[in-house]
Amino acid sequence: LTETSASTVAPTVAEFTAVFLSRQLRDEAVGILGTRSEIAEAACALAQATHAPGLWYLSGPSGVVNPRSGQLRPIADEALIPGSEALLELSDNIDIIDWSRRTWDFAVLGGIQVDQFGNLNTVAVGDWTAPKVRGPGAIGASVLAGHAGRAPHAAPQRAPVVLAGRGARRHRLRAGRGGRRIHHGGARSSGDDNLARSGGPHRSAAAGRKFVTVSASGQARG
Amino acid sequence: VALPNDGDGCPRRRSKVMTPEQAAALVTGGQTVGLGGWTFYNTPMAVIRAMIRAGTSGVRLVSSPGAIGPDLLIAAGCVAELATPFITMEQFGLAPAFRRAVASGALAVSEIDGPALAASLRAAADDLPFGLIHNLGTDLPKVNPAMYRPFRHEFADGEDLFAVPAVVPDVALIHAQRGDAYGNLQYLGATFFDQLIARAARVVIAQVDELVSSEELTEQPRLTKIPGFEVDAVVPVERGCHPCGSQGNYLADLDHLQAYARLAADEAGQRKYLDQFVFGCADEAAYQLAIAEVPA
Repeated sequence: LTETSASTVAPTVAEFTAVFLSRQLRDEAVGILGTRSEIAEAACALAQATHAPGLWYLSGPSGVVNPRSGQLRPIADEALIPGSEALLELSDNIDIIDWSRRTWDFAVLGGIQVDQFGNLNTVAVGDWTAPKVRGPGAIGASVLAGHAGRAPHAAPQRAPVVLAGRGARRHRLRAGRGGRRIHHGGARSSGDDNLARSGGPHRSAAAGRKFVTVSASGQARG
Repeated sequence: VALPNDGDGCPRRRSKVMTPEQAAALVTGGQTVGLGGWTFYNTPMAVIRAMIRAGTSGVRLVSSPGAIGPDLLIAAGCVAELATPFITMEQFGLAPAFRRAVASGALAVSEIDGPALAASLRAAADDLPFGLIHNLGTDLPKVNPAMYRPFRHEFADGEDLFAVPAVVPDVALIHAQRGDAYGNLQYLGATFFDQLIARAARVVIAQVDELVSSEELTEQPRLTKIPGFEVDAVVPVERGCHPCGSQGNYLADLDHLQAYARLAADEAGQRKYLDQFVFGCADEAAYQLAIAEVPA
């Protein structure tokens, strides 16, 4: 979030994306950010500074909750620890990230490919056994997409994005402990020729209707 | 306060301190190795470099999300199979050796996501045969049916689940900022998956920035995130995570990491990097001198 004399400097795609994302975030929502989430991190900070002072966001890898460092750094970076509201341990935090359906509302995902339904590929372009481009891996996209109140979304690698916001926590109050059942499209949804052509087995996320998809015009880096 | 075993005439408490080379010798070919840290943070690179120099091969690497740590092991041909949620060179792009090794078929991948890694390690730590994760719509079972086993049970109330087999690392490689001779480990930043990996593994090798006395360590017991009884080897190495950083003590060397990502993009560059920064350095002292030069 750099300050510029806006009238003369065109915003970058990343800046537009961060602003768009921040507008999807509701006050009191709880979100999880993973590696390469700088745009989403900026969006959360912007939302907290404007319409959502009670927004919560936590770093999946490092366990930092609501960093207040004023710096936009990788979400696992130690620079975000001083002044944050909590530093949790990932070995415990996985209960929230990987299993809980009632603790958090949104996540931010990126990937190599995404289709119009929100199916997300983070693993490989081409045949999985001999990929044209081998991506980073399966991440935790399926579970994050599945457990979010509405999950976020995706864009080419390095231009992740996201979001969501229905409020799983409100839902939790209605449904009770673990009461929400999410139905997923995921690999079972159909209709995306490009993803299908590129090999299938690497789509890791789900349920297109839950997604807000932002396709920042970044290049999938190879 | 003097501990009883520090006094003359008392039996000495067993020290677990060793060199990177001694620690690397605890890893034998074909073993399952669990790697801690996270991308550019807390990666025990000195032990990794010692493993490469020792010619360790056929490793089944179960890695936390990593960067140059797992990538260098792959580049050096140490790894037969990799299981990890992801590897990335962060802002410098895809992991070069990993990408090339998968595309060429040289590296087998056990494709897993974060929940499967966590469940498999937790099951191992708990001495249970498998862990459970939700089935939320993913293609992973198609490419890794052994790891994602559809699981239904009368107690599960119709939930669609996967049973994930326990993964017990023969050896865990982790890095903490401070440790004492008895294996107590203190973290000055994030712990990532290190505690879970340590609990799951049979043998735990911990690289540390600083070996401190028990007296100094016990001044701040809240910083001790892994107790010594879980740890088998303490390997003090100054700046041993380089080019990664050690949270709370030193930052990643981004110039070096960027140069690695560029150089290792092709086979010749990868070889050159290994020759200059691993095989060309007899030990960590030599490595620390070599890094005055940025890889090119």
